[in-house]
Amino acid sequence: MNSRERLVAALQCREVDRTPWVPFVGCHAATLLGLDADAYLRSEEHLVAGVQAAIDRYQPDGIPVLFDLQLEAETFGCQLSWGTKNPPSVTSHPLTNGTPLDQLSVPTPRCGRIGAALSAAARLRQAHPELGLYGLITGPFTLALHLLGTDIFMKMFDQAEYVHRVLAFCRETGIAMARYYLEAGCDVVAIVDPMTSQIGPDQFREYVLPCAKPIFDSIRREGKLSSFFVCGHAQQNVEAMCECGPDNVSVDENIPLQFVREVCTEKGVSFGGNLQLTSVLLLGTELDAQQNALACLEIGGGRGYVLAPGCDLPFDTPPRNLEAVSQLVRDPYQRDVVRSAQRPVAESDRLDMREYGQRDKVVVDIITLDSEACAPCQYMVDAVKKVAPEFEGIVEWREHKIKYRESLVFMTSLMVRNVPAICIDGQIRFVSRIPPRDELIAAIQQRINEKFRSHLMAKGGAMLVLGPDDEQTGRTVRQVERAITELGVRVKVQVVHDESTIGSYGLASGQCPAVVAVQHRVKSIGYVPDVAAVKEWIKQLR
Amino acid sequence: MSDRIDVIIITGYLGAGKSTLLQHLLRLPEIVTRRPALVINEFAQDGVDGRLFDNAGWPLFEINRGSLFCICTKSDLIDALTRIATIAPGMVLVEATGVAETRDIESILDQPTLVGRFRMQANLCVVDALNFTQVVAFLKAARTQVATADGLIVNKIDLVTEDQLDVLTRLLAEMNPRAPQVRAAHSGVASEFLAQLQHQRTEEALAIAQPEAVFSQSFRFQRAVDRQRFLAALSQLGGRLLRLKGHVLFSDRQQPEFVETICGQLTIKPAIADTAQSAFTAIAFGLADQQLSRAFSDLED
Repeated sequence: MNSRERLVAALQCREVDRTPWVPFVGCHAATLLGLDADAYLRSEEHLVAGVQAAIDRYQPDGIPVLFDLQLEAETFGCQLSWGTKNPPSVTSHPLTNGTPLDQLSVPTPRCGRIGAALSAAARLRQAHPELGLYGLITGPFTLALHLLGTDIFMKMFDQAEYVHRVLAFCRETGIAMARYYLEAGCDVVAIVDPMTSQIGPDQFREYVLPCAKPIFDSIRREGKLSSFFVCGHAQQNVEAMCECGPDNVSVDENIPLQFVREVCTEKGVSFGGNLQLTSVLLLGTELDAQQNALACLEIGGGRGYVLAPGCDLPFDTPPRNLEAVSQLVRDPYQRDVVRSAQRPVAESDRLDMREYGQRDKVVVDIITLDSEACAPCQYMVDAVKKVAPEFEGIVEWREHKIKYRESLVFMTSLMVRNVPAICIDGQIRFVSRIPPRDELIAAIQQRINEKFRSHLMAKGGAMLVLGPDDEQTGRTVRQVERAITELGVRVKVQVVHDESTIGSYGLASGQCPAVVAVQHRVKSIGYVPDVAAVKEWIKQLR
Repeated sequence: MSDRIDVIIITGYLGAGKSTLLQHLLRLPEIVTRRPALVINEFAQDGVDGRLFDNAGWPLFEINRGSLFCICTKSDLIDALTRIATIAPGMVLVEATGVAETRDIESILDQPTLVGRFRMQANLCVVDALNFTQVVAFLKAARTQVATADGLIVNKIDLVTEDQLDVLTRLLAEMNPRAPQVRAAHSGVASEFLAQLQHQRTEEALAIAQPEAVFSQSFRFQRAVDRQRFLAALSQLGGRLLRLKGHVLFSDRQQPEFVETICGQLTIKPAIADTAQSAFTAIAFGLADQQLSRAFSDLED
């Protein structure tokens, strides 16, 4: 099964060899080329190069040519405000600025940036015959909102017929745009209508359904597939979306995937989404992304589900997170590893790590998924492996593969949340980042220095010479100082003449001169010790 | 004392008076002395609102690019709040878009990079007394903004009658019994009003909110409508009928008439459009299932 076949099968609720993966790469592709979003979205060459870069890195089964819901609106005279990290936004609405509806005409394939999008689609089709290609069109309600602004919500009450006429125009635009994308070679046309999240199911059926359904019907007549995208809090409309007749409904993280699965399965419609865009893909780690993807895969099931983010990927989404999702969806072993990392560790199972790292040697623990199966993990292990010998036996390292229960317990006990991670003597030092050689050496050396200092503190002490201020006491002091000098150690000598202080050591004046060795040993660092522990230390003084 | 930065969010439909409220707050000593940072997040306003505050010296963050879609707004707001955390102002005032979900904004404060840096002090919703009863039936955000608000500012009271205000007050109290209401002409609120507000997490507020307290329904009639029965239906619905607008062919006339009610005030006059049909749309609140349908079910002569 190639990618395109897999995607088509999933969209048609047929058996697949694995769940297809469709990252909705829009302006995010600009980052892969080192461009701003505005430059990217205005150039056919950049669109082709950006999607190509995304294909290379994320190995998708399907991908959109372009994700820009202002494409059609721009041809109607909506003014756009361009940003460097987002798609443009519409800043003027022709129908509220005096333009009559009958002066607007359905865009041709050459209007505005549509030509660039269609040419990019055709070139990508030619370059990737085995990949599922999505053409995205602006949904009728969102397009009507571009034309009318938020006045549409007022006019739905007092100019309902006019709103219907505007939506009918948007329907015709949608039918035309769908045809253009299909002629350019797209396999799937997605109607993207995020603003429908703002209305209830009754209004959806009254205003959106009569416009969306003919668009989906037109796609079906061409023998091609369709999807209905929505983002935002649109749970109330999922059933009505299915009634519009798409092959697939795709949602974002605001709608529980379980709910979507139940509604869509009932209606014989495939479904997709709802990888978390912000908290996971944008701000999370690779492991967060993989855990979220795994949860989606398990809810989505093996039939009729497309793994995808809920909407246009944020510009700054770290590519490594999407690569991690790609790896997970393709590799069953990787799913097992991530699944094992999710097993809960009971509080009572956690190890007491307070004394960890107090040995003479420095211990470097590398927490990994498995360095034999996970490239970043392998790089992290290699980094430590290469550096450790330079410390000539002072540094010990070990890998903890969290597919094993004991390693997971160890990881949890060290409060490590993301892998791969490097801990030095129990302290988390590098997370999800392979440290450069010099940085790793410096971190280990810093720990050695800390240990050396605490070692000296632990072995440190003083010699007390007790006795009156006389010749015998003076000679005793000199003998002690000579011994210290000959040994080459740093031990402080303190002379005590005061009788009552001498008495506090349990000695009478007749027993002087006397020498008392005082040893300082660090018993706890950085935490409040239990009373029971302190009692044990006190007993050792006796 | 918490070292988190307090956040006040201002929501409300486009044109409700959010910017005016923000300007008003920036004149209150309790706000000014806390050196607020401003986040202006207006929908399709080309940053106009942002420029109003340019010369006042407050740190100003405009996040109006691509704001139609939640993900763009979210990543922009995260970016703005991350930068605000570095300058550590005494508080942050966020003016949301007319279609923003307050819970989305609050959830951003829980993102890993921001958690523990901010504290939601309150979210204020500005309610346009003139238009709210019309837009609320069609725009979900208008309902959830009210349902999750810690305080409701009923604005533009100079443009409506006392009766309309009473209906609106009852509607808002039903949508959000927890939030205190204050009436204002130009978004002016006293410090004491702000001081009494208690923040409740928006998810919790939504869990207890009535999901569809306000709704709209359209009616069409094939035959002429009996005027008395129509008036009786309006009377029966009383204050529960927020608005009704359309054309009705009454059996005692040859031509349809234009009919409109706004919070109990009925207007009937010659048709303003060329229509032969009887059709109107009604917006009501707090009615049992099918109660509105039943009220208008037996009007035909």
